[in-house]
Amino acid sequence: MNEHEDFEHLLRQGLKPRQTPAGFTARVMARLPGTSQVRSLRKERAFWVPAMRWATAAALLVVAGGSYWQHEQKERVAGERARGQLILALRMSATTLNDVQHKVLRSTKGDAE
Amino acid sequence: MPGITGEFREIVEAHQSRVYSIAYRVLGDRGTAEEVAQDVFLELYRAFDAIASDEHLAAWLRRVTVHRATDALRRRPRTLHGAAEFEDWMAETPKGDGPFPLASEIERLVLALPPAQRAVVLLRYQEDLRPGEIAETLAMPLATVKSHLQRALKLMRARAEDTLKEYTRHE
Repeated sequence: MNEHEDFEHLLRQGLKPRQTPAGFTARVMARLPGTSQVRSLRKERAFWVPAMRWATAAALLVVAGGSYWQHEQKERVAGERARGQLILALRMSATTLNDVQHKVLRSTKGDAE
Repeated sequence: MPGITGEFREIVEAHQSRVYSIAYRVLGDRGTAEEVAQDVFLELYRAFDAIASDEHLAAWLRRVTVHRATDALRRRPRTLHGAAEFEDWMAETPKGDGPFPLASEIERLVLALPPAQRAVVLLRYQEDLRPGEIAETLAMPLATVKSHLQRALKLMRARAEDTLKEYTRHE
């Protein structure tokens, strides 16, 4: 080792990290904003990112489900309306047929007499 | 303290010695060094989302600590120029509470350097950074870092001839 390296070695020896004063960590932690509710940032992120994903998926499901239900309701109402119209049409047809039948019978009776 | 704060506590525990040592060796005063070190960790807490890796964390802590300690030092500047002034300063400065006598002597030699040289020497010999890394940490041209290092070593060796004679003899 030459003199220069010797001196550099001494510097490294003499500049090893010092110990912090006792209670340093506690004093830092006490100064953190909102210490009692402080959360681990990485854990918080680890929690919130999947949580946000699930919440978004749930919201999309609700919106999609709601649209589907609304569509089904419209279809059901339209179907019921069509069914009612069909029944009405059938009733009218039956009534008309009865009328025609009575007229035919009446005219047949008249011819016979 | 809730267990959930454990991660930040672990970071403080893992890096406090490095941060405090830099602050102390820039400032030469335990009380101010602790204040600066605490402030650095509070700043880290606020900037934590921007820290991408352990290496980034270590580099961030070094850079911010040097800057905050240097800012604190500017509020009470003291730069020694002549040999006589240094002798007076060494005589009046307490030997400190380093882990062993050599550490105290080395710390006193570092503390007697101009602030820019002091920061470069600490990053080189305490943090074991290469000159290029020091230039990056201090946002300083590489040539300036090398020049500071050379001047600091020359100055410290000249001053250490008496104070460190016994240690060099034993090496």
